[in-house]
Amino acid sequence: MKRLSELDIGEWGIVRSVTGKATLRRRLATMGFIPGVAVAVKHCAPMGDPRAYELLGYCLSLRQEEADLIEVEPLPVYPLSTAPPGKVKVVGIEGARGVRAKLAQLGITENTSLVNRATPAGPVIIELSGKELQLGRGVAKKVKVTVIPEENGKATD
Amino acid sequence: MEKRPIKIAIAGNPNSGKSTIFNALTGGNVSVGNWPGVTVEKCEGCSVYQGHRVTVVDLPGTYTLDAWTLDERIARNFIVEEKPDAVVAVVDAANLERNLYLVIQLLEMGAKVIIALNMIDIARSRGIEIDTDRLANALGVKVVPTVAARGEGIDELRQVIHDIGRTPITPRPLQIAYGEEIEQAITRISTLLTAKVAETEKRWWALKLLEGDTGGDNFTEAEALARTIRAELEQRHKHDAQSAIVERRYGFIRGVIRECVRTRPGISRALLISEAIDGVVLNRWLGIPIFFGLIALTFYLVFVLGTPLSELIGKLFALIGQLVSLTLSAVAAPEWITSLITDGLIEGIGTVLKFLPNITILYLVISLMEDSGYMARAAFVMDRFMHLLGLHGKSFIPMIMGLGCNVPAILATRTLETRKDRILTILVNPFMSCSARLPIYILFTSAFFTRGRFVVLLSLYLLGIILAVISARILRWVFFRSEEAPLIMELPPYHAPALRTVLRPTWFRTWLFIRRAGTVIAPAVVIIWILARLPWGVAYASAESLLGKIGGLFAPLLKPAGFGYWWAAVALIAGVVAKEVVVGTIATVHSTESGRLTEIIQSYFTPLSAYAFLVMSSLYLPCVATFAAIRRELGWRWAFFTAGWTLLLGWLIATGIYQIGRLIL
Repeated sequence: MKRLSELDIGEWGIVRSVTGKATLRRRLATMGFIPGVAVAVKHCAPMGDPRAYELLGYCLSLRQEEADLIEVEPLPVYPLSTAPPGKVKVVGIEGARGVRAKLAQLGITENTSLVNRATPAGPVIIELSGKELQLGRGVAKKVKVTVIPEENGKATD
Repeated sequence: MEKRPIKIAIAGNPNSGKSTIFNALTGGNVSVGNWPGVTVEKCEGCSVYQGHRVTVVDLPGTYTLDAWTLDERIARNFIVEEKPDAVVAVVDAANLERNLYLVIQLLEMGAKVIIALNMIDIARSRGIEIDTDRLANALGVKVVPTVAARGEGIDELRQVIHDIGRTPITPRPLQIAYGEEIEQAITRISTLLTAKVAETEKRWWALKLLEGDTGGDNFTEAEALARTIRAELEQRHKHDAQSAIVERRYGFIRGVIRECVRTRPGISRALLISEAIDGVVLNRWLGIPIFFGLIALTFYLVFVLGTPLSELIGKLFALIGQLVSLTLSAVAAPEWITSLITDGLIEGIGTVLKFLPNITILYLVISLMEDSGYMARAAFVMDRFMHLLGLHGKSFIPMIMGLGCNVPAILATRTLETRKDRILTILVNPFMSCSARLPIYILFTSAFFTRGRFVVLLSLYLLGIILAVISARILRWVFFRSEEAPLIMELPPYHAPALRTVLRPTWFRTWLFIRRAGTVIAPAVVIIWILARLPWGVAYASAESLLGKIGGLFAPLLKPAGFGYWWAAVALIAGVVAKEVVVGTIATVHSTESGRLTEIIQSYFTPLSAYAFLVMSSLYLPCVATFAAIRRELGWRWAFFTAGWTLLLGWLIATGIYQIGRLIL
């Protein structure tokens, strides 16, 4: 368990709880910070504060002071070559410009979501925008992905 | 058949395309000003559909109806009190989950909601497919897909508004199951509300009170109960009722989305581009240089592009003046009529309208920044800095708007969450040098500082900003020594500004400037002309005239600042009507073509006293319109406070500069 303010840029986490004053908690909840929702750190302002986050498909800024109040469970990051099967989201690409450019041509950049077929050997097969693509294992190793729970959150009883 | 007029309201999240829908529905037939991005004034438009008058009210863009910010209270009270025939909820289809939160609240209130599912094209490009029929069924409302920027779906929306607005049936408010404990609390609070609100509204009011909103004097008893229940629940679960209610609503929304939305994996090009831009604009190192670069570019454009055009307008007015005086002497009009028209009206108005190009360019750039989505980034990048200065990141947008005109800037502070931040941002806004002060700067800098002109101009703007900051710090320290509001602000995806949405407000603001030249500046100029003529027989605009006497009264006060001339005093007094009048008055008093105005002021001022005059006219007293805006937002006390504070600082600094400058030079 970490605080949202402690996540690095590009990292994803699942909101577990929000503390702080009731009015602020309510405000954060209305903007989508409720248990179960996936959040990513997107940008950081000069001087490190505030930072911009992605949640529910939009972008929101918070000061570190507010992000301190939000407890998250960081999502594990895998190389695409060993990622679990199903829908995954690209959170980072390692390697030189050439690799990134090649992947971008295929439509794979940071933030792309794709379906991983999880082949045990040989090329990695993925599905992207309805098309099937093959990636070499070496390249796939450089693509870092995470699994964002389909069920974004649950009502608490 | 009776043709009953229909009244509808438009609600929606900020950046959902609400203003575009409003404009499309009303065809720009709007009665109150609509400032882009910040539609905080209540805008009413009107259209006729199949013989029915439809009044459309544009509510402020809000995420919720919690009565947290002033905007939310305005939107909520309108729906509660005015009970519009229908509420069009503009929903960003690409951002459905959060946008539906507001819709749910509207439905819980029992409003007759029509969903305009806007920007459906963008949602599709992101692989989001929405089954509109299912969405309509799930929520029990009509759903109209639209692409407002291209006018798609607007006719259908009109038809639906027409149908829904005319049916007298009010829908049953949506009931979300909040779980046993909260439901019990709602029942307990509801019983106290009997006879205070309508039967159908009881549940909604009970919920709102439980969420911690206040409902006015009528509800004190119920409010107290709500407070007790909240404390009970908090103790028992460590989880507060408010968050639990929000979570239940989102839970309901998720259920709806599961039913109606399919998402294909992939990512849209537009979003990628937007993120690439943010990668640069929000960069740790580049963010602030880019921001200042853009501001510098703005002012460069204003002066470099605007000045040749404004000289053209100046020549045009000189020509008109000559033509008119020729015509008048041809018909043997009395001398005083010729003088009134040429020396008074044409000179006065011409000198002001000359600055139209500069001002239009400034407004155009501000509209571009707002519409493209950059303004929110600017607030994001500058927040830390503003924080150090004792202001809020969101204060930054009104501050930048203040460079155009302080009046819309003061209205734009309504998006700030706490009253303290609002008061501070409003009080220091007059220090932001508005475009009406430009004519003064341009006249004096071209007369005295041809070489270092840009530096002098920049120094005036910076001085205003520095004083705003110092004032904010002092005021915060004296009046509100408490913590700041959080910065919870959406950064909408960039989009290429639509020509219409940029040009409309630019034209609107420019038109206000032109209209002011006719309605405020022209009468002011005539009054000055009359005062310059009276008592009968004195030489026009001489020190013996009534005008000269009035100016002479105040001139000694200005002497320490280096410009103790009676006409300088008159110009400054007249400038309170509108800052443009300062230049107009100087022109009227000396009854000269604006071309020769330069020589005249050169004969009175030294560069040092000219600079002191610039500082004084930049800082002293807000104009009448700004004063009225402050009074309306904060009351007489703060309005007079601002007037006194700016006058004091303006005089002290102008005098200081002149006196110290004299010692050094």
